[in-house]
Amino acid sequence: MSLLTLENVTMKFGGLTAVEDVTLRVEESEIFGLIGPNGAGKTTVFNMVTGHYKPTAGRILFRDNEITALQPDKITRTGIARTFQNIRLFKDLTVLENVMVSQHHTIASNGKAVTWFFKSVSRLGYSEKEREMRNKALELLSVLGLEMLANEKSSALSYGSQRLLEIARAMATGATLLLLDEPAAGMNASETAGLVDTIRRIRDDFGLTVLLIEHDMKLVMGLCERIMVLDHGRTISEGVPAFVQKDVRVIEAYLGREWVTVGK
Amino acid sequence: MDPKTLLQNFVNGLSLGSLYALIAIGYTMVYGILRLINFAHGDIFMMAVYFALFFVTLAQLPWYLAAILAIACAALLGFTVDRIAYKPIRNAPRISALITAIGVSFFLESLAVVVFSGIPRSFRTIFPQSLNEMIIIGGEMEVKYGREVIVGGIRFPVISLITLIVAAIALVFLWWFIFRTKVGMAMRAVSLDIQTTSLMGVNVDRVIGMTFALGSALAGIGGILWAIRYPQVWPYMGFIPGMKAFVAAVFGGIGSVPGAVLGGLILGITEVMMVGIMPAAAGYRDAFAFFILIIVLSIKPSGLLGRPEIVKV
Amino acid sequence: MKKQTKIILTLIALPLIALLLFLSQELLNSYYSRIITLIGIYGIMAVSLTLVNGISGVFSLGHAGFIALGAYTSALLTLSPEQKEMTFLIEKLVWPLNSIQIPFFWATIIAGLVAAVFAFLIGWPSLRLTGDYFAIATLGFSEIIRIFALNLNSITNGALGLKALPDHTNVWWAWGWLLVTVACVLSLAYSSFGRALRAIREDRVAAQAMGINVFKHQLMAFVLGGFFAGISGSLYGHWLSTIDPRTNTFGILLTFNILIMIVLGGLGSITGAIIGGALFAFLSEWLRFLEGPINLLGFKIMGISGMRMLVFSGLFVIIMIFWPRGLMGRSEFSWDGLVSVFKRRYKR
Repeated sequence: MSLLTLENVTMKFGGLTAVEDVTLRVEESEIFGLIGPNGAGKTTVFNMVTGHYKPTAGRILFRDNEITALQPDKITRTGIARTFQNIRLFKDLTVLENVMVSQHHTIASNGKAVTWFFKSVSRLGYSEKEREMRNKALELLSVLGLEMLANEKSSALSYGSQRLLEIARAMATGATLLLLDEPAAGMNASETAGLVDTIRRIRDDFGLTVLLIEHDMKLVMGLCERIMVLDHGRTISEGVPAFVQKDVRVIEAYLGREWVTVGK
Repeated sequence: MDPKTLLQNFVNGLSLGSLYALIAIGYTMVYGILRLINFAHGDIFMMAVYFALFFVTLAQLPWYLAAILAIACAALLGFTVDRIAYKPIRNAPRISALITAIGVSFFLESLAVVVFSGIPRSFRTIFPQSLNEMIIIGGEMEVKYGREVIVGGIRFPVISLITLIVAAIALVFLWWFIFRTKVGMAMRAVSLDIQTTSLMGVNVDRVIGMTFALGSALAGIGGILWAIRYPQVWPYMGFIPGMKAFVAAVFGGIGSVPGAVLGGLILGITEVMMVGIMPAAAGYRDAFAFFILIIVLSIKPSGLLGRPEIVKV
Repeated sequence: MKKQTKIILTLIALPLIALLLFLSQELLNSYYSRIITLIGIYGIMAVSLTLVNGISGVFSLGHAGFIALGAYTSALLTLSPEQKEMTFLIEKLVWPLNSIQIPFFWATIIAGLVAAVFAFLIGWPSLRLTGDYFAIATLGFSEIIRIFALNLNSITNGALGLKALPDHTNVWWAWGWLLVTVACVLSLAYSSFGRALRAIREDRVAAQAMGINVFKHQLMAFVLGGFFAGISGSLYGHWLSTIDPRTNTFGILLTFNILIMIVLGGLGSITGAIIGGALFAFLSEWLRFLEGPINLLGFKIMGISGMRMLVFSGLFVIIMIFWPRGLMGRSEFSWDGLVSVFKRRYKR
């Protein structure tokens, strides 16, 4: 049983086909890379998995349960969380609050919302649960090295720290599958190196599975155990990094046909 | 409803609808570009009527000259409102722009109260009386109370017909302007992608200003025709027609000019027909448009001719 | 500052405010004490709208509709059957409303509940819409309420409105309910629930991606906002002692006035909402001179009606353009904040 399965998924926007007939299997606790040139449809794949877009055709399964076109919040509650390519933190909230928000669904889902609402209004059963959430948030922040910044506004953080905070926030949802959309974008070399360690560490320590989109090839080839390459919405290659790196179709997609002939 | 009344109501509904359409175009064009509900639009409609009133009564101008000047002033007012109130907050969150627009709307209303006083005035004697006379098609002469009167027939006021003609001319002009002039092309480009258009060397602020002016001029035309039809002028007269026109714009698909026209016509006809069928419900006439709005928004928020918006993630 | 210290300070401050209110009743004339009552009512209106427009990030323009609902509901419950018999001239009031009379407190609670039910009914279809569409839908709703008030003769007495309401609303009712409102809204806003609401306000898409059911959360905030709007409507109606649907008292103008309060105070701050409400009440009384005859350098100028509104709307636009954070921004009153303000003074 794969953790996440995409079966022949297609996404069309009007006349434009962004993703065509993609089939993808992510196994439990692996780090899987999704790469491809700009506009290949990688983020669209993420958006379909997290329920932001409804696929035109095909099915998406998580632990053998169909999650195709569920609402994004429901999908998150089944155990998939994501980060955003163009950082979408809650700017006016503190770093700590950003992480605590992600735990809110654990107390306010499945019909418990109304009860919790009245508890909040009347302040009953408030502090104990709140302390639990705060402790878990602080723990996650220290895993990502952000604990010193807990009370800063999230918009005051550096770009690299904001990316890390996005990861912490996604982890706090309690998800077992993390979708990271270009986690290293905008980071310098040493930050990127640190990120590689961090992703490995959270995978091992928290028993997570990671599916990531990245343009930094060094990071992808060093970190991912398996890779899928998309171009113009289609799968053009799939396998271990060493295989994908040598695949002619991949080189063509990135560098053009002429380069391949010259290279030979 | 017998066929005669039906036709009668149809003509009246069509002419009311074309007034909604004229106002709705201004909403839809501004929304298409700035994603802003220009709350002040209904008040520009009101101001245009006061301008016309004062050009005739104080400046003693002939009515046609007064109308043209009033429409020009409305255009200028729309342009000014954009420059003073909306341009400084172009990059602010959308909700601040909306709040500002509400503020501008109330500012114009209270300005009208202060300058023109809040007491309703009559518009009846301003324009030629013949506009309010009835056109009667068919019917029979009968002698009643010692006078000859026409009984039966299809009757509607002259102004209904004039409204239709003026609205049609305005729409043809608008079509020419949007599709056959350079400024029109720039407007279409800006509504598709504001940033790219400005990178192409188009002065986006000027185009937006022109859009406000054009929309306001159309609202001005609508306002004057409205005031001839319902000849009571007061500072809050723009609120209800403005809101209804907005409903028409949403109904037709906000951002789409043909949609605004279609939405306006449908709203006008259904409103008149509803009152025709259920005279008892006449008091609820103004609530009707809002019911339509809530229904349209819950079933098909993108309206009849609008394109659904894709939320970018 | 220690938590205990803050609690003690709060426990001292509350009776102090109560004492000040008591003194104001004893020492000031009825004109001023009425204004102080009005500040309490405005406070409830502004705080409940802040919950919706400032904290949960939806933008409602229907507040006046809920206030009107509350005002009508409670007025129909507190008027005596004989009074109703005399007032309803166009059509008789429907049973059972024509034969009941209940205490003001319960009438106010029911007013809040009725408004909350309507908030639920209007929120259910329209909260699926975003941003400005929701604003228009709620504006439409408040217009529908007004139009029904004008036409439903057998319930609202149509254009004649309701008159001679018992003058139940005093300083204690108004400020007591303000205290309840602030306590509820504050504890909600700073709970996990409120944090989720603020997250939705900051980024709807990301909040949903973090597992929050955006629709449900906003709906609950909207319903609670509607409840307190209904409460304030009951108080306002019994403060005015007449409900006239023809004037703009319960129309869009009221929503606009509340918007001025919360924008002036800082959109998103509960403290700001109360300060905004108080400032608005004072300013609109003080600016009355603009509408009366003015003696300027020996020249007598006739007052111009509508000047106050012009000043307010002009001020409003200027705030939005040059000072969008208002007085408080999104921050709240805290003892620590107060201390630091004094420290800064002292150092200078």
